[in-house]
Amino acid sequence: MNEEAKRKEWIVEGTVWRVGNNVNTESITPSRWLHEGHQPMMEHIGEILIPEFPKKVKKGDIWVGGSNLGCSSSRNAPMYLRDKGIGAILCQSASRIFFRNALNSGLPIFEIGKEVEKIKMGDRVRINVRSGEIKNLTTGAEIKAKGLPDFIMAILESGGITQYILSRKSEYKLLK
Amino acid sequence: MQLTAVEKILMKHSVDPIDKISPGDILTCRIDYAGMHEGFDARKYTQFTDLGEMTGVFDPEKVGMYLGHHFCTGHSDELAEDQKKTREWAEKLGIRVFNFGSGIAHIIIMEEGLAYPGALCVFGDSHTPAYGAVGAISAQCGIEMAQVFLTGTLWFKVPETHKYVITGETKKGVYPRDVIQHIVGKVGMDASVYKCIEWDGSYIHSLPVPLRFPFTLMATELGAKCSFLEPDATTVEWLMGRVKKPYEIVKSDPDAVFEKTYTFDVSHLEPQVCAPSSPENTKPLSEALGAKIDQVCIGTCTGGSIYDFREAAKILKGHKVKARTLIIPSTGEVMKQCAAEELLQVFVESGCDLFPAYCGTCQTLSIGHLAPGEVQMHPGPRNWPGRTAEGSYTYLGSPAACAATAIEGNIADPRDYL
Repeated sequence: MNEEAKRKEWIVEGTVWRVGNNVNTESITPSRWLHEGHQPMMEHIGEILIPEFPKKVKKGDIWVGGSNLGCSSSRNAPMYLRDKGIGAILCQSASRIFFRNALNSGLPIFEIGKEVEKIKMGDRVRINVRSGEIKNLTTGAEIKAKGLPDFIMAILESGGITQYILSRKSEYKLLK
Repeated sequence: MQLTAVEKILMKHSVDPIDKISPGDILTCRIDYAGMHEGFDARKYTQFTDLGEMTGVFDPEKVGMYLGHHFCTGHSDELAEDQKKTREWAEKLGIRVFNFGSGIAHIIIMEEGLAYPGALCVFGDSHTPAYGAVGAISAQCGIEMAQVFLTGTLWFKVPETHKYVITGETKKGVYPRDVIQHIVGKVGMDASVYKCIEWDGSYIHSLPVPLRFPFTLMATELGAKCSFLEPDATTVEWLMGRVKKPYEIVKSDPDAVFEKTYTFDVSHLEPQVCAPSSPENTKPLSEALGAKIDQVCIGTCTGGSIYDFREAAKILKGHKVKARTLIIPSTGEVMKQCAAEELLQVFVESGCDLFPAYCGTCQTLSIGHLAPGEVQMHPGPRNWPGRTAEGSYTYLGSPAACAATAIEGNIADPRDYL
């Protein structure tokens, strides 16, 4: 599939970076680098969990977790993952904060329950964001995620909550 | 009706009038109070300035900016400049600003009566579920805060409710911080992901309001979206003079449907400790006795109330600390009370250092940093990797256990000093 067709369908295809259950946001985006600006975080993101991650991740790769992904601190770890090139997140279940941060940062996230066990570190996976169809290209396994409600999809399609508000600026009386 | 408190509160705040509600429904609701702290990246005020010029917020009385939550002083030129800009931005929009020394946002919001029974609140921090302790429903809000400040509304998914019932009376030397640690270890951190936790039982209703905070606040460590504790006479009395507007107490119906119920009898519970490096890594304190501790912090959102400092002072009085020990009240109000009761004198005489009210060393963002290989102990809610320097470790224990540990420089049993 060529790049333009992929965008039209919003296909994310990449290599899986797999973490386990109850992965906290401080392990993804450590407190040490939160106040140092954007670049140092890009150099250290995820290294507590997967030491080679910040050096080897490629644009369009997929972050896959177990249950309660992104628990603990409400720092916007998905935004940093997005900036590092992650194209989508899959998990058994996500913490509410992490889930909303991802959507509000324009990063697709799907909770797929136990089906997540069909996805391992290093697998190639393709996700059709609009239909929720997920295919593990390495094993052939197919998974269907529950779609997101239309208004949430609209935030995601805008690229996040800031872009969503900007695209509807006239509806916000308190914005000049 | 068979409705839970969270269902009733969300229903009452729905922008579109509704006459029925069930878990999984998505509603847009009116917000009674919203705030954020100095925060990180996307939670800074730049999320608003990115939208162009704002002419105000939906209701300045219902919005607060907290600059003394993570930081106890302006410890760098960059922080000072950032705080100056944030303060100017907030003041221009008529938002009340809480400066250094005011303390931990969640506790202030309850002390100041900004959260109250039946209210729906959002805040830019993961421990926002805390306000359930005063009968409110409160949930974290991230970069969507722009939506809230501009419109006073936010969408919510109606959660199922899990009930946690705690009965029995604890033995001497066992505190609320031990009880919640025991519960997190028992059920696990993903026990109630995206749920509302409703706390109940004779034990929790026997506690003064500030000692209920560790439960509603650490609902986050159980995965919960929000937390609720039915207001009783103790709550109403504590709120008197704090809440400046009339409020209506909301309760779950007697036949409300709870998805799950957990019960705990704390009568035989021993002092607990949480070992490095995950908040569910609970052990009896007796199994950790003697572990070397370089730094103790008495304070944080789950161990910095006046009740905690009274207990710590009782233990520290007449002793000198071996570990370097930081005393950090949760809020300015607690600091004043510690001064009035001459507890600060006890701490200074025992060799502790005093710091302004803020979060403490639960995360070393401001002071009290650790070197690799060093170990600290505090009563805060978390000890995850990434919160302090790589290669440093954190134990969690009751404020009393922290005080005993400070004296010995090793993990110690508070009962030896009571």
